[in-house]
Amino acid sequence: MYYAVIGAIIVFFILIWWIKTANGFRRTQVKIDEAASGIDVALTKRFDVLTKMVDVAKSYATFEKETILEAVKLRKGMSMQEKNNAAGIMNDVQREINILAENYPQLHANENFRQLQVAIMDVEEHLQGARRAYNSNVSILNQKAVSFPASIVAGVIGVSRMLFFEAEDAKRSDVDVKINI
Amino acid sequence: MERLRKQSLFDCILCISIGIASIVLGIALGKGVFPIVGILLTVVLGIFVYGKKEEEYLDYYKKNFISAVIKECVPDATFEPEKGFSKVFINGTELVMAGNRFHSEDRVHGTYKQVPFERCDVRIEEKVRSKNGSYTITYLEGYWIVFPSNKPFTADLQIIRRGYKHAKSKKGIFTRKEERRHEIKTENEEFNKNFLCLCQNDAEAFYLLTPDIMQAIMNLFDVIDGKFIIGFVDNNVHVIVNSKKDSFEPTFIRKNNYDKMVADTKREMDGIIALVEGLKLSHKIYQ
Repeated sequence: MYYAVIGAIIVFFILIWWIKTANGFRRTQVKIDEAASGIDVALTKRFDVLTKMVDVAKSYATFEKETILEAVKLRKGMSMQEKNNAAGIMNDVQREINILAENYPQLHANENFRQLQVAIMDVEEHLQGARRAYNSNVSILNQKAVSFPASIVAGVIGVSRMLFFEAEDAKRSDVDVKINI
Repeated sequence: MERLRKQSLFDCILCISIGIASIVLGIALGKGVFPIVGILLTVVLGIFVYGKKEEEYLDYYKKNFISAVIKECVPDATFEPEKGFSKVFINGTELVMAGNRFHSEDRVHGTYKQVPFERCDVRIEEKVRSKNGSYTITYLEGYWIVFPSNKPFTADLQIIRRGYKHAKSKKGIFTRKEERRHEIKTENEEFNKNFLCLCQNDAEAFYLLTPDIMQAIMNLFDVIDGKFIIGFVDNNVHVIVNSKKDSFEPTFIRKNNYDKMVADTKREMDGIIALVEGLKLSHKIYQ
């Protein structure tokens, strides 16, 4: 009887710990999903602003990257790898637009273009915020998922390590806000 | 100014001497009304003679001396020693625990690089009564600065210097779920070691707390004395410094070190400038 009571107490505490750990994983997964949807929103906004910038740029010079931007297909349920690729393409397009603006002072002086430059900076800060929130939660989940004994719970409930949303080096620091307004 | 201080001190000693003398004389003359007359005389002298001189000295010290130093640092600043934040405003931010005693004064407001700011001394205490008597817990003794945020946001973000024990965290189960703040870890280990970050929305918190802003907050160790909290609440940036001292206050008892007072005031104003620069509050691209 004595051992049975001790055994029951141990099982009870293990059960509580199991539920707590499993709920912790679920909560982190929800936060990751929220952050991922934040990335989707920011990517969509960035795509829209970039498209407008390309339209303005086209009226001043031939813009070769337009077709590349058209290749970006943003849709629901994209994997993190696909999002990374889309973000990479948008980075290329934006870099080209910036080079074009430097070479064509009329484009740089265009009021509409300036406003779009300002808009894209804010969108990028939102994207960076969402990316860092996502990566922070993925980091927490990955650390928990590989740490013993939480790794047992992770294995049973089907939680595995997740991919980070990578940013290229140029995007790791703050968005440059030096615009001649 | 030193002459005014000495006069105040002289009047203080005079009042105390006359008071003691009249009480002693009253007791010597006999029991009854005489000692009470002595006490009344002391109070009257204290209020009308010493109080007036003290007020004159403080008025001169703050409105001329400190005000000039503040204007030297931030030309577009105004010092109003008698004004402060309201208790409702401070408690409404829910950044620091609300006590049952509140005092705020020494308001400095103005603009730096077109960024408006408002700074006041704030003291928040909790007087606790127990069976063994009463004692006071000081939640905050220092100053509070408010700037409008240049980035629009809807959720709270609270950055607490580790070691400060009286921040209101809103983490508990008694806080409504949508208002509850939770902890986030940034990618900067040193920042995490020094600060506890609580927020209502992760993405918005990271949007506000960029790598440069985190570095700027850590750089504040050099310009701000004491533990501090930075709060992003209601589209305002609140900087709360628990300096454990009452700024801009002179002493009557001994000669003031005016050079040090100038340096302290300048340091505090430099802190405001460092905040505007470091937190990039003058960048208006987000509005």
